[in-house]
Amino acid sequence: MHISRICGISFASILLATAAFAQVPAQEGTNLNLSPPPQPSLGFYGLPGVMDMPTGEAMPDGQGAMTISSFGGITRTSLSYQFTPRIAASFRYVSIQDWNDNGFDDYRDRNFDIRFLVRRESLYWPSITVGLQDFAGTGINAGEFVAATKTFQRPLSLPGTVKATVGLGWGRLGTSGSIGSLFGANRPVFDPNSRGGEPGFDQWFRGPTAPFAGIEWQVNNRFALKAEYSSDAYTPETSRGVFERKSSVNLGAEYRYSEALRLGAYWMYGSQIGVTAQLQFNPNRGVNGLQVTAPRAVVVRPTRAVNPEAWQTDWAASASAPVQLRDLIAPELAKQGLQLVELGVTATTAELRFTNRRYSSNAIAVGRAARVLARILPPSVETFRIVPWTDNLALSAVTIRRSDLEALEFQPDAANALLAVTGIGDVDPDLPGGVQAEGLFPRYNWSIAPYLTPSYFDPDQPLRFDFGVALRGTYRPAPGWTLSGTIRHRLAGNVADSTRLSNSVLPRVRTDGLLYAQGSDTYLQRLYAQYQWKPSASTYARVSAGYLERMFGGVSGELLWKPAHRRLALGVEANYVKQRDFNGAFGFQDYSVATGHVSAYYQMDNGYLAQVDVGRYLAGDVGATFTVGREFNNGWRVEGFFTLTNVSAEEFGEGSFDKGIRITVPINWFLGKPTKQTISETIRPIQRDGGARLSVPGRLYNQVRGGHRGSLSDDWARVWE
Amino acid sequence: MIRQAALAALCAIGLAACSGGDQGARGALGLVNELRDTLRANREARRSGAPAQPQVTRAILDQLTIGALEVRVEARDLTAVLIPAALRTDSGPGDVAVWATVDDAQVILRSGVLYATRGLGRDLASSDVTPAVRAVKTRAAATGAREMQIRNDNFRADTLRFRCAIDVVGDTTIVIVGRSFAVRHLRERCENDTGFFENDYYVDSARDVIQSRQWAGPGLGFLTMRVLKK
Repeated sequence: MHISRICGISFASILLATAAFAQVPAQEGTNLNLSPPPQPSLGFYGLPGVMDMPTGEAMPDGQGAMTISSFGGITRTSLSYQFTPRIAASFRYVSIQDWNDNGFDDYRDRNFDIRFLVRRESLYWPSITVGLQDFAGTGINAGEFVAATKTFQRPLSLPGTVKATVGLGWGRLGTSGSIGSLFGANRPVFDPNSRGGEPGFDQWFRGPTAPFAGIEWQVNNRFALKAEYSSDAYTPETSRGVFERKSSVNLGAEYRYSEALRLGAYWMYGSQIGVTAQLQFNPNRGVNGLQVTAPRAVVVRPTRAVNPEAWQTDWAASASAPVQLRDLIAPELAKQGLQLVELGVTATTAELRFTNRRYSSNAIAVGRAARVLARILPPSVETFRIVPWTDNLALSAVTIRRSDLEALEFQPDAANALLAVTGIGDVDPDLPGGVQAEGLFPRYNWSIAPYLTPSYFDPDQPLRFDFGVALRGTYRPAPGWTLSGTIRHRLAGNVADSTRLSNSVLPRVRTDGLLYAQGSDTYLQRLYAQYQWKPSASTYARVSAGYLERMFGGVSGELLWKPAHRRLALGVEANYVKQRDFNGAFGFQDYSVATGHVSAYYQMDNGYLAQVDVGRYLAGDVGATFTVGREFNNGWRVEGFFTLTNVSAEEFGEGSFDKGIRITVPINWFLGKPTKQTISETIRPIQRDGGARLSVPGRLYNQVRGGHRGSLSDDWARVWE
Repeated sequence: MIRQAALAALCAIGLAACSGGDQGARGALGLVNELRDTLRANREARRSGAPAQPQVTRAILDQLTIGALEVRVEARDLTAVLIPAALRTDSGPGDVAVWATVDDAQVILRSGVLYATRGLGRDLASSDVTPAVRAVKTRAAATGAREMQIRNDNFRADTLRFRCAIDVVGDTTIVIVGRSFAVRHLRERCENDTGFFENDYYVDSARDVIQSRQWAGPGLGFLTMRVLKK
């Protein structure tokens, strides 16, 4: 249900602290308009909209939004993301009070939306968007639409901007003022007790259609007024007495509190007061711009003509030279947050293997390592091979000529100029003749830190938390070896208070979460040993054994093929695990399973990632997981995934198949200081037993990828920083 | 209000934690504390007025044995005195001078024309300022293209391209810390589709820029610089 790599600092509280101003205010002597594209206001469904009706606009590329809206006892909490300039997706939690039907007091449900911007706004054309709302759930909010929005600056000499929207709606958006059925009249009716989860191909754009319209007047920088004609009759709600719909016209006013936060108050359907809070953020604009202490300028060697003695190579014959150089280089690297692992030198080349402990961008680390080498190595050393190294895995060899480093530092577009003459390729597992750093192993670290584990979407209480203290210790006796353990003690929380025990017909590999929460206040989260190494220049391997996660323990092995210069990676993972006792001690239950996957990973342009995992899941079901994601260079990552296996929708239960979203946020986006840490959170509409994967620590792909050509060249602009 | 509530929540979480080890691990506590400190610093930076300016007198300058460049980041109301960290002659126009503060923020100039900043955040990563360097070196008008790479928050650099014209405004006298200098005032106007910016250079008879106001990109705005000691 969750992964909290650091501790569960909730995204909401962090984002509320956000006020991104990447640009200085207007100054005398310039009128440059470099501000980011305008962000549209959001509707009650958390995507661009008037109130209940959508608009034809899209958010700026990469934009994320969190929205809460409420009126007449209907509350919608939405998480939206502009995945590409044209495609936006939204995940929503809906709560309807006083439903009093179908066995529910209050009705709660999850929705997914997807939208496609067909046309961008131009001089004469409006922006046009086609959208599917609640396209794969039970269908409480199911509706499709086409909407067009045109912007008018200072219309009729009024101040500000007016946006006018017209559209056609189907499903929920075609229930009031219908003008007939365009694409067939048959549309299945909404069934509150259906399983949901499957795309409603049979209902999209079917049934009655109705026109809607809206207008938004952004009076000035702060205030906006909105009005709309709604085509939603709210039949399921009004028929159950949730609220009374007296009018099709909605009115509202919105206030822009900051760049990020917008608040609104509304008069809805002639009878209800509504409110919204809209929070928008963009990974491209940090809270604090990353500020890294400036490096020292590259030291330029005297030319051979001026000082031929400096260029002599006799030093390389001395057996002690590599050790002396290592002892000069290591402390200089340490000042930059880099740790020397191994150094190999000849009269003309040097290979440095180092661990980057500070920068989330390996390009900065490579640039700083190169400057240190240029300052210390004798002039005859012309070729630098700089190798990022992490826990016994040499990731890639970045080959830079020292004379290029000297010549290009102050050239126009210096970063691209250097990239053009830099080689990034595979590196052998070992460095023959290299001198290793002293005292690198054994290493240990420990922490006592708070943890927070949220549990989402219990129909009785949508958000539950456990809070406690985690003691974690890690010991690394030798390169590649890790012994690590985490013990947690729960101090407070209400996850265990739920009364909803599993009703699963499959082996209960995930749905017994409640029994685990009730099992013990003090429990062993993980305790395992791991060894990882490189069998060859482009392959990586890992074996792990122990209590790998809260619910399973056993053995796990993984082999990954990922050449440093390729976009494609292939991996295979095999595990044999046994289900752990609920009490969180060392015991096991009877259930055991052999589970494993063959995986393909592909890195596309502009940070898009795709992954397919085919194999056997924890409940013994066989199938595949499909993941698409978008990663920003600064570490922001948004992913969506779904899993299809040979478990039928009936056996799977509510939701029909496993799916969810995962968000990763880099800490330095907030701090503006270099740190490698991130917060990651996975949200599933519902956790069932089908399509469940083992959560093994230390999977290889994400350890390896940041040191390869794709990531290094994406960040290369930082190499001189 | 909301920010304070978030801050309070973070502090509450951060109350009970610690970490250790031999690899500089910070753990959750360090991170939460750092996040809290950053938010606090952001808030205080918005509230507080200008920090006290360093008092520079001619007597102090006369005793200096190294060069000194005063740089003011107008938008942040930050002023610092920088000293030379490196001098280079490369294949590009003019001479490169790296000026640095004690805490390693840098301003890099090509014959007095801004090439890059480092350590300020949202820095100017690199530039092609050939026309401006030519105008300074000849104390005469020049035209040409300018290119600036500006670091964004996504670990990349955005390239801005401009058409620039440098014109002679006239000969004038400026005063720097109690001493007058006869200078030629050059103004560079750079334009593209998004608008324009204007840089001012005051060049002495030795063809050195001794005072200037130059644009460093949307994240930093204008830098005002004067040479306190050559």
